[in-house]
Amino acid sequence: MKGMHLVTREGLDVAYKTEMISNAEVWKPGSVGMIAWYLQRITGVALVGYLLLHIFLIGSSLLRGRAAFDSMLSLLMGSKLFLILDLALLAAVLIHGLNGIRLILFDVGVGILNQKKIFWTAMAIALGLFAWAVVRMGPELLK
Amino acid sequence: MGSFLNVTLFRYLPGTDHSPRYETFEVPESKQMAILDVLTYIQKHLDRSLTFRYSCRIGMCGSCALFINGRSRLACRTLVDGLGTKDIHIRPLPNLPVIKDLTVDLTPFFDKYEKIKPYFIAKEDREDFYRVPEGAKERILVDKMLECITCGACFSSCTMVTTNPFYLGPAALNRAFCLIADKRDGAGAKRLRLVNGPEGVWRCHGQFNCMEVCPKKIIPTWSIQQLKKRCVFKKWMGIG
Amino acid sequence: MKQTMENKIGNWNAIAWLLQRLTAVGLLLFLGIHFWLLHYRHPGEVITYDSVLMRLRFQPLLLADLGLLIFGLFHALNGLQAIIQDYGFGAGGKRGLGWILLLLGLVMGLLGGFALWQTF
Repeated sequence: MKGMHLVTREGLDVAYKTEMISNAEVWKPGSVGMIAWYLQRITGVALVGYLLLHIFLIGSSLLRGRAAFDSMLSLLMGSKLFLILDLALLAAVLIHGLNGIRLILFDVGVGILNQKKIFWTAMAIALGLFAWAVVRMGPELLK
Repeated sequence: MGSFLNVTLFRYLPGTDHSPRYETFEVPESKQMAILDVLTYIQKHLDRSLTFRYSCRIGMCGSCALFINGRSRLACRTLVDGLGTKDIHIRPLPNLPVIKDLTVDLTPFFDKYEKIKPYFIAKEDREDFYRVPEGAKERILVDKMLECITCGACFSSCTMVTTNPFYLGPAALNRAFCLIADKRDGAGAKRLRLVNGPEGVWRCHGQFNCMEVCPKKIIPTWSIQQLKKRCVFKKWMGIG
Repeated sequence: MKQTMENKIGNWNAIAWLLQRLTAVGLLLFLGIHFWLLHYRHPGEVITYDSVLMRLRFQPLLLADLGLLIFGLFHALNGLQAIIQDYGFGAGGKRGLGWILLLLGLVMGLLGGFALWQTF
């Protein structure tokens, strides 16, 4: 039966080990709140990695001067793979950003009772913006 | 009713059993049967060694919280009909140590509850009573969050409780809010300090599992949001 | 177990939480500008050193890029800090890996800031 193995944890205030069953099922994104949380965290971590890479790449290229910068940028922006990864970046930004707006609404006390509807609205907007971007980049992708 | 339920139960006695196991029982379904009825039937007729907690049978005491078909619920308030299936899986509450079978040790839960001083502390300098009119604006939210029966469903459903063993959890934080937001109570500032840390309100990221499972329709996420606001603006709100 | 206490550096958790939200809003603006100008206004146009020079000479856009750099680094690294705390590090007010993240943020910020300044 899935999710039934034991995990041990050192007692926090006591010396003995206690055993709890693993709560794999609690982690299952059955609810909208969990789906939103997973997406926010996964896109967040991905974007951190991207940001650091981007600053390093662009920053060091700028510092190395005109020739180095121009050659790096034309290398990157010329490839199809870049365009596709770029759209993936946009998707991550849209999901993280729009769900983020949802979270800020809750932080100011707005909409908590409608948290599921607001999530789907946010994702619909993200999808809409993403579609716009795909259409706009379309000619480049198809070249 | 003629039909039978296929009930799978978690069985384990730490120290005696080598590892947990699941056992399946066939239970005849009766009208308006609740999960608690299923368990008492099994204990009475099929296996007298089955261990589980219950008391009031009417959703008031919070003793019978179990992990039933994928989420934490009160056994006495969960009707078999409502589950929509004849296959029933019952496990003890997650995030808490198992004592035997379906019984968990609630000490970690209540330790955290106690930490926030979950009782009314009168203001020292008052001689008269507060008059809080019915329907007062300041009570609207608090009154929704008062009914906690400390069943542990929310605590067991929060993955932040799982990953951070020091996190106070939704029930404790909700109780802290009820008292901090109560203008009659005199220990608001002290309690706010207790929850304003990395083991307190800042671990909540709005998963809403607590809201989904609470049998009393409490929304700890909302209480915690209110606490966060007070933590940030406490100097300006005069509770710092 | 040691009582949970407010952090030694003032109301740090609360302030970091607030700044996370404020930088988030700022990033919506700065990223929007950045994406539009560099990518979606002229799809497919390859960015050159000269186009960067031209853009940064216009002060509001230089500020937008700097804002993006600073807000982005704070939001990202503070986010990582929160994730680390979710796993129980930093309990009892200890900073733990926070210092490493801060250092990383400063290094990257200096790299990016210097690159922008030098180009400008």
